[in-house]
Amino acid sequence: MMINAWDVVFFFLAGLILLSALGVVFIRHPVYSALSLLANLCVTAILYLSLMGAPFIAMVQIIVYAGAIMVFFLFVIMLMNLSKGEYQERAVPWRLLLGLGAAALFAFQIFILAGEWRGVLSPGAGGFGVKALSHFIFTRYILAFELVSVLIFVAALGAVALAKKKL
Amino acid sequence: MGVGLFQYTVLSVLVFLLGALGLMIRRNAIIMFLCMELMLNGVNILFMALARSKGSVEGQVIVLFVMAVAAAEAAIGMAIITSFYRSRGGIGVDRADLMKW
Amino acid sequence: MMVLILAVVLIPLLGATINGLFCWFTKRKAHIIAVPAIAIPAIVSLILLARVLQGERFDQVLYWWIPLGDFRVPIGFLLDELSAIMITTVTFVATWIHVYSIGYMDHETPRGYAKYFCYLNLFVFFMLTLCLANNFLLMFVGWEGVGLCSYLLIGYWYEKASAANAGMKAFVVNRIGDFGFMIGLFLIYKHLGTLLFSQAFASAEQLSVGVATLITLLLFTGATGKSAQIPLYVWLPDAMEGPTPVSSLIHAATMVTAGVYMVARTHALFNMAPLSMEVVASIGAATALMAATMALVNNDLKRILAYSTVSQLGYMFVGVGVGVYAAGIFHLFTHAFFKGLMFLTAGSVMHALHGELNLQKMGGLIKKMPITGWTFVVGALAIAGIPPLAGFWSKDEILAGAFMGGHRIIWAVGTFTAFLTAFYMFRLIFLTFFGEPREKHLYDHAHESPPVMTIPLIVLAVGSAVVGLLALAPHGGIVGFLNRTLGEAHEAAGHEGGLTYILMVISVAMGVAGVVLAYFMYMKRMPDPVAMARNFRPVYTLLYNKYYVDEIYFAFIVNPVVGGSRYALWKFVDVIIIDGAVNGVGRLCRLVGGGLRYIQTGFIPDYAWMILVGAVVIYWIGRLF
Repeated sequence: MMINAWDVVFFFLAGLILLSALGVVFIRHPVYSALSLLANLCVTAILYLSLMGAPFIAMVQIIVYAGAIMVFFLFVIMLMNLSKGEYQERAVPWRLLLGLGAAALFAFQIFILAGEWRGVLSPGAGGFGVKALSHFIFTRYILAFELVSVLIFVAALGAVALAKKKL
Repeated sequence: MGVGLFQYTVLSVLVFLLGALGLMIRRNAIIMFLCMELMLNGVNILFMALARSKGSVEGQVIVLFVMAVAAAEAAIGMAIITSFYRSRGGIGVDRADLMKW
Repeated sequence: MMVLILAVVLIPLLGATINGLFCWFTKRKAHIIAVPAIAIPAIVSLILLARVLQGERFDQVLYWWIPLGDFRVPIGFLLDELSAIMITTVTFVATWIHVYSIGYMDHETPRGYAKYFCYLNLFVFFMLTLCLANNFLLMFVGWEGVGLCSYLLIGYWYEKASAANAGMKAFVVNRIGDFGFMIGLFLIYKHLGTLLFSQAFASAEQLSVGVATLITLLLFTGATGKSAQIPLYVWLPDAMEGPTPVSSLIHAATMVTAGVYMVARTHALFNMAPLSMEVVASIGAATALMAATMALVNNDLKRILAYSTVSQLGYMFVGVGVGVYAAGIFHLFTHAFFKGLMFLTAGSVMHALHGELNLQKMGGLIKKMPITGWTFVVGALAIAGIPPLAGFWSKDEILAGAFMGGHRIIWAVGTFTAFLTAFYMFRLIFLTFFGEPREKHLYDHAHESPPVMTIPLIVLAVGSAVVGLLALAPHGGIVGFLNRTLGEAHEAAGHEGGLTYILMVISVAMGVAGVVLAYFMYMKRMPDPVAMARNFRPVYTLLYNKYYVDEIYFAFIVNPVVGGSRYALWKFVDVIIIDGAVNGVGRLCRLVGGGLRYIQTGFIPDYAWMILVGAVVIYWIGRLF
């Protein structure tokens, strides 16, 4: 059985992604948890760039997610200046079991559904460029695009209103 | 065998479920929020994989929109958490019990 | 011409809108809007009447109101001789009643004042719509609209239970009539396929006699409700609870005549159904007689006038029933003047006596209020049919038509009713205005009304005196004019010189006899009325209690309906079944909710796993079922 180089890259990146995801979930300290998410997002961006031939999405992932949103999260965490007791949660074993059970059920379900998906993804570059992407955004999805811009605007206003001292 | 759609789906679902697990077991509102971003990221991976396997760019368009919405959501969510923190003196979601019977 | 017609119809609506929406602003100045909103249409109606006199006509659909496939309801107006006379009468009388109301409603609250004028204008709008409509449905809109305004105005003093009840009674009784009217409309549409007057009447001859009879009887049912004929007249005397100018405008001059107008308007259908004509004439005559006898013994000033109105409406139906439509409309026209006048004078008396209506407490008022008194006498002479006043001409025309048409019994009843009319009217006059004051206190405080009220009285008195002379105008006078549209059923009968004069003399003699008898009974006490009442006690009691019609209706219609509603529908269906079902649903929801609330922990992580498990469950539910 041939194991080609691309597969190795995929499993390596997938492992990193899962590892960092576990970090997000199980690290107690919010700052480290956030940094773990940052790592997760960055590795995902590398996955997009290397295996899926989607450089634009990868860049946006880095700039918007890792750059803007994560910095924003970190800012908020710092602002709150949580004491140790505040993030020292007591682990609740039955809740962990319950969550694992639900997740396992769901995973089982998905794998039943996706088990027959046998499509092979040709790895490497040669995907779609920014041109193809923007063509779709500004033709078929123009309404959604405009609505998203309105949504972001409203969200900005809402955030300002919510963050005021007197609610 | 070669890495196919199935492997990507497994990766995506695992990331998604890890996020969901985080939502289920953590009580720190900020970390729960991070877990939600993780779930979104898992979904994004699946979208990208489907776009790749179907040779269509539209999956990537959706990913872009997901990111934009996630940004808006983050802004609002953080604002809510900030104001929750101010009014409740902490960010544990078990402090939100006003509507509880 | 279209612009003028629209002006006539819409200006009152504009006035009503202004006073209705801005009553907080117009307040006591409401009449500044309301009076011109009627006066301008009155002038325009005169212009229109002049143009119709020269032979113009207008019949046009302005737009399609409800287009539903083949069924299309137009908004359109028809101006011919009949509607021209109607709108002129309505707007002219209404104008003076509006003026009069300024004085009469003086004591109302500012908002109430504006509300009153709003309703009055709205009423005139609907009345004009009714008169000018060129199709059945628009006419019905006006018909219902005047009913609505009548209800609002009768119940104007709605804090008073009797006024509110009278309003409801009028509304319900009218609804019974309208039910028949509507079924008539459905049948017309079913058999003629159109609601436009012009098309319907043109094809009326296709109707079989049976269908035409059915349709016309149903239409006439509506007319009995609106025009207060047997058996649906009971609402009109109660309607006197409203302000007196309202009684004058709605329940004497305009709305109640809508039934007569409708019968005249649909004469093409009635001509197809001789049986219906007989029914109309008979009911008209019976109503005329019955109402007149009830007026004989009543002691309430306004109710006597109300019965008199019912009686006179009976005359009009006799007119249209025996086929002399023009005479019926002519009587409608003259009646609007003298009955409007008499109600206004009654209002003036009430105004002077602080709302006192009992004849037995009045007397001698002519010295205190000469204008009111003498104008009333003019009106009474007119209704009694003393030449040359208005009532003589029109009533004579109807009675002559009945006699010539071979309806001898109806003629006899009508003539006898003319005698009764003269009698009770002059009984009223002698008790109110002449003789000795019976209630010193009331008499001392009586005073003549202000000019804003007396001027309309004088104008209408002059009108009552002279409008009858229109019968003598060239080309057959007003009757000839109306006959250009209505076309008399038996043209030839009209001119048998000698007989006409004999009939005329008989009816005048009847009127004079009534006046003279009233004079002897109530001024000289020659046959003492009290003794007469004692000697004929059963008759007197019967009349005094209005033939117990209200009681009979209550025993046989109202009480069974109310009882059935209360015990079967309310106590059982409503309380047990409907309320039980509703409360049961509520209880079930509480029960289920009480159980389900335990899973609503309010703790976000719980919702997360529920969503995941729920998604799987929903998938399998979809898969398995």
